[in-house]
Amino acid sequence: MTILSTKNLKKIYGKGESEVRALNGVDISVERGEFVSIVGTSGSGKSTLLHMLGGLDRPTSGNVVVDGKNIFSLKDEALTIFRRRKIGFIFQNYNLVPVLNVYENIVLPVQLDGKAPDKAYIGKIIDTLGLSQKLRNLPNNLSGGQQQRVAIARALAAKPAIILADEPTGNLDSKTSQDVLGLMKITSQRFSQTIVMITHNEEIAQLADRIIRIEDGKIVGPV
Amino acid sequence: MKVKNRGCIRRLGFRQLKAAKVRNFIAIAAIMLTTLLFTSLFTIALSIKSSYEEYSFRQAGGYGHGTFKEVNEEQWKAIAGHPKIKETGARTVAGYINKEPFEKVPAEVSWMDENCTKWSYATPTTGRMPEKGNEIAMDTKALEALSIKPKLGEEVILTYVVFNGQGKEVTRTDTFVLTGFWEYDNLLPVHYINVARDYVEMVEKESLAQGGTKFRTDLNVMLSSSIGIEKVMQSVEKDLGYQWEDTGADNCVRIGVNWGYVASEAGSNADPVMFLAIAAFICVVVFTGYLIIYNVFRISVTNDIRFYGMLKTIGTTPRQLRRMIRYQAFALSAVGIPLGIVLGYGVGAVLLPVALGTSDVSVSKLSISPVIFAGAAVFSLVTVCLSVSRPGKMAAKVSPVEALRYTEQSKSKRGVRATRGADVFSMALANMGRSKSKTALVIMSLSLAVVLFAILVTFVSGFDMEKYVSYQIDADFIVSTTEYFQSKFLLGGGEVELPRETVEEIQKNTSCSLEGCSYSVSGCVAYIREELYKERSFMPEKYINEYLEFAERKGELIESELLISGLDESLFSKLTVLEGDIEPLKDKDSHKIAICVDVDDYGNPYGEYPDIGESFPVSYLKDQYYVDSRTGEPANESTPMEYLKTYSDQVNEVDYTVCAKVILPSSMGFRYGLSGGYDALLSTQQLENDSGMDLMRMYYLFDAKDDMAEKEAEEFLAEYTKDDASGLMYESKKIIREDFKSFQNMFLLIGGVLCFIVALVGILNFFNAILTGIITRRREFAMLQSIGMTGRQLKSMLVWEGLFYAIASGVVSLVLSIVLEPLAGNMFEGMFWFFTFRFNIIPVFFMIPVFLLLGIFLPLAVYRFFKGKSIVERLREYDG
Repeated sequence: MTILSTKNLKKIYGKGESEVRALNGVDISVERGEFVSIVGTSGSGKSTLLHMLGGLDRPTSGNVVVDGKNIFSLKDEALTIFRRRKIGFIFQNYNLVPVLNVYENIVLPVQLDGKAPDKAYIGKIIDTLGLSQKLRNLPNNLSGGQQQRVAIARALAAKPAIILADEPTGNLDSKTSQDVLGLMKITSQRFSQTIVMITHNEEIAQLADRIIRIEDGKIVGPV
Repeated sequence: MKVKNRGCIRRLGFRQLKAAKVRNFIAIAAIMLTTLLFTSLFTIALSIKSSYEEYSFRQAGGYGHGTFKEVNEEQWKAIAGHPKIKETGARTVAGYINKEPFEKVPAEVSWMDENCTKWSYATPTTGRMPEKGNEIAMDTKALEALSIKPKLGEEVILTYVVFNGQGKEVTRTDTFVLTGFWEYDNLLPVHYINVARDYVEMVEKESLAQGGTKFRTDLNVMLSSSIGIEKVMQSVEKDLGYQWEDTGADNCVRIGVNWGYVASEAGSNADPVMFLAIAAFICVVVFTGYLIIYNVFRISVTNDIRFYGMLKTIGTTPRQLRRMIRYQAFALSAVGIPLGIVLGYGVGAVLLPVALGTSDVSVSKLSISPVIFAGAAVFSLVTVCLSVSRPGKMAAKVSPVEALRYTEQSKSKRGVRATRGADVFSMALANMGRSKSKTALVIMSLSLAVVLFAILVTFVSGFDMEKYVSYQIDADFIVSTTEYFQSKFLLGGGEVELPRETVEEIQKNTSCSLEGCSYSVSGCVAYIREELYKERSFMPEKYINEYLEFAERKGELIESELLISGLDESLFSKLTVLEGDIEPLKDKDSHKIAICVDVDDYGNPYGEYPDIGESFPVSYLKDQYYVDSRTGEPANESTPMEYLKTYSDQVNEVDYTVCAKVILPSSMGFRYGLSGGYDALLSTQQLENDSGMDLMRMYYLFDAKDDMAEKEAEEFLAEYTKDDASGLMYESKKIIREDFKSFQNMFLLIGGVLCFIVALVGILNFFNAILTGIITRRREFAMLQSIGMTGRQLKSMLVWEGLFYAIASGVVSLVLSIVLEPLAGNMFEGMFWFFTFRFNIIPVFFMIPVFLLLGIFLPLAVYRFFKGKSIVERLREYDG
């Protein structure tokens, strides 16, 4: 079952001479439970693609369908709500809220939705990610790997349809990177999550079920 | 080793400055407002001083520092050439007119040189000074008195008394042509009628030929400063071999110091309340300025901390970093201070008339003293330096490694936080603790304005009008001459009584329940015990001893001033008898007298007085004149004040026995006191009987029959005394109430302006906190939005933050007001006798809704302004 698909997705910055085609007609589709990595050099358009997939930015043309919903048909406010329910994000620089503790950061998307967190489920995530000892710590007291594990937990907390990871190991050393990626993979399997990860690192990309290559805004590798 | 790196540091500082536009705007505004407060304070303070000086100068007739009197040609040249004399202005008086139409304010016919003309306020505004022949210039009021149209070229026929130094009056009439005129100032003691020098010389020659003396030429001088005028003038005389004491000698040049300078010096020095108020004001302004400038710089250094850390890693020293921040502060001051000075001067100029409105000073002269501008600039700079020193240290102290990962947040060691949930409300609350000092400074800054306002309202509303009114006036109406109300009755120029016809006219037009007059006589001295004299004297010890040496004695008793009133029996009900009985006063031959006891502002009697039953003689002096107490000769102009003594060839002496001590309401006495003298009270018949002199009517007092009559009387008197020329004034409860209200309003307005600007600073500080809070967290907000926080939730988080500021400020204001109000109230009660402290917390509650509105709308407005960029752009905005 296809959980995510794009159709002729284009994003063009600027006009005339200075026109930059960040995305030049991208068509991809991702099945439920898949772990897909999108690989490309810097400037290839991979980050733009991820932003589009997550509904953070609007395309110049084309559309993105997540869980059967054309997300750009939604207004900003509705899109944000759709996002917090259906899409989880993991960023290179973790992006945790500094004034909230680990647990509060993890349940933030659920609470923003005005729902009570599913304690059993969240407890399982915390256990899997080995965070149970750190729940009351503030983010700046954690190591980079720990912070990224919190970010993964946060991405999973709302039981989204899909998790989008933007260079999740970009700020981590190689040992920690391996750990984090391993955890990502384990959790995605255990909680049957779909993950789309972008990276410029071939080695890391290899851990995914499938690799999509992007170059100059176009898909060039196996789809 | 000295390295020339200042330029580089300065350049870095300026570049950094350019990058922080919003901060600069707020910092400049803060510095400007601080300077504005300083400038307006100094403008008002110094302008009150200069207005008071101007007022004194006009009353004294000019603003020259002093006068060398009756100089000859040679002395004139010598004095003018002395290095201590900056400028001279000469004047030769030919004569005067003190009869119709100048019986009230005399006119003097004289030649003045250009300086003297300027210093005497006699520069023609139309036309020019007289130069030769029969040219003449004078003020418009004098022209009007002479029935001459104020038109250049008009013919002026003038009859005046020529100064001939002899007993008999020689008058002279000449025809002149009007070459200039100017507006008369009511404060001037004389009408200057100026003529040409050659005319004066011609008249002098003719007068000499008829056996007169030479005209006197006085040399007015300006010294390099107005400090110690008398000493400087004396030293000039010593240098030139003159002296000023032995008036008979040839080398005598008498000295006169413009008392305007003396008066204004005395008036400006000794007011501890004023001094305290100014000091308090400066403290408030420094504190206000500190709160915001410090906060602005602290926030900006925190935000730029990576930049400073980076500079440190490449080898910038802490000193250089501190200097960089100082440069920025100075550059911002260079814009803010001049703006503040200009605006502050404007505000000061607008408020000056209000500040002066309640004083006797009827002249408003805006000071242009450089002290205002230099003072304001210095105080502002000091405030700025104080404010940026800590942020400078912060930047200097930063560890380069730390700085690279520094984000603004609480430096709590715990690093843990109890789980409270991650809803918008608790996130906002948690955000308040990110930078506790920022939050605290903003809350202090906002609260300061409210607390000041609360104290101001307590202060103004604590003024007890009825207490004040009943102290100021003890009747519905008191009518008298202008001189009486100016506290000059029977003093120099105040030998004017209230005419009987006036009283009759008022009686005809009003209906009263009680009425009566008070009288006195000119020339009356008492002989009292020496210790009582000493106790009653407010002169310096030196003068008292000199007086005791020369004063006339009757046995053990010593001559002293006596302010004696003869009060109509109908007014006895207004007296408060403290001791004894006033019934004997009603018998005109009783030779009993009542002593008026001084009371302080709170109504408590104080001082030493003759005892009940004690007797003392009083001498009524008819046709008195002044003698020099040292020589017994008739006094002349050079006799020092302290040796002037009244003397009469006809003396009527009465031995009085004290029968009562009473409180005479201050509005019913002479309205002044004399050193070493008493106020004493007789009945009108007694005074008439005992003195054998014509009584001088001091005032007419009446209480209206009812409210209606009071209103009618008020209208009648207002109309009746409207014309200045009538020489009449009146006091009524209504006038006192209005005076009081304008006094109250002065505080309200000036204090209100202070509160308003302090509030503005507080709001600016608040605005800066919200603004920088949003700017620095733009990326964090983008992240929050990316994980699903809606715009609405984000806004409500910001609004909650704003509301927390507002609520905290409200609570702090409330607590501070509750603590400080009674303290301030006690202080005011000690300072103003008509102040009654009433606890009033309403102003705080009045301000809280304002804060709440600000707390809601300020974050929304700022957010609206900054939300433009998309989430992705903001997410990328990392590390600049």
